[in-house]
Amino acid sequence: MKRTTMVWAPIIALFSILLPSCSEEDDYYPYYSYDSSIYSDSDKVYMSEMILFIRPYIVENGERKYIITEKIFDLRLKINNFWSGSFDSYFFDLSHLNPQDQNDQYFLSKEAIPYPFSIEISTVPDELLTAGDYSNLLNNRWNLQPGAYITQIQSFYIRTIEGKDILVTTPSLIVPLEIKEGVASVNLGTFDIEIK
Amino acid sequence: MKQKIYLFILFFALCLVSCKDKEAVIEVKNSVDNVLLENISINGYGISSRLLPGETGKRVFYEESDDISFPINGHIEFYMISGDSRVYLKTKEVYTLDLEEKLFIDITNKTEVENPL
Repeated sequence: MKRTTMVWAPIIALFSILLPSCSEEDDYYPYYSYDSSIYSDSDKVYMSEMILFIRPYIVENGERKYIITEKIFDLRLKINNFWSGSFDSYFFDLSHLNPQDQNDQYFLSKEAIPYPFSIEISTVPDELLTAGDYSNLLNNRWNLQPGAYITQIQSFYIRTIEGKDILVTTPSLIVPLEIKEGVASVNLGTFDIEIK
Repeated sequence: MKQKIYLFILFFALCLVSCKDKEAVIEVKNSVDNVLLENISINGYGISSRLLPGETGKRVFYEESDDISFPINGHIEFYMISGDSRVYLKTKEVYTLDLEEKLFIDITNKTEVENPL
């Protein structure tokens, strides 16, 4: 009996020590930054994307007619003095569109065609090379912080039926942008722009 | 007799000096903005556990008592931490620490680093 106790007692003691370590840890929510080298257990969300819509039109005989084209491209946009870039809209397959009208430059429609832009707002460099680059990344200096900003849509290109690229400048298109805490994307709005 | 005493003292002093364990010193300074550096090491040898911005950590290696073969060669490796985020980094440069040398390394915003990913 004594021998059996001497054999089993240490086994039971060891088991009772190890058993609690098998239990699940407290709830733990790891959030992985978009950079694969960063580990974070924060669930904070930072604004990283902006969407907007452009509806170009012309005026014929006092009537507004909306332009149909494959895409609007090289839209130049600036936010304060922090960030700027150029972007293309989504691509429209014209073979599935039925323009109701056309002039010598564009296919036209009485219904507005919104050309959507999905814009990634980030200044993270393609390569992180120095300790300072990683410091900026960890401190979220590459992201827009919550607050109020001025967005300027400066210009874009639109292509005619003949394949000619027309530059459209929009110096007066200045839009306030408010970034709220915990919001990953913002809708800047829909803008009707007359092409003269 | 006095001569013998002086000779003995001199001999004893020489022994003390020659028996001293040789050493090498490495210092690392955190000069990176707004981040902690933790678990700083070189070739697996720990230098400092944690450095605040502006702080310098130091490690003295002894040839005999630490049982290390010199020179020690390696990248400076560390965790960079800010808030809830952290990243493992190592310097691109390889450093060499030899016996009876003192090496000072300043990790700044411009120090080239890499992450294996």
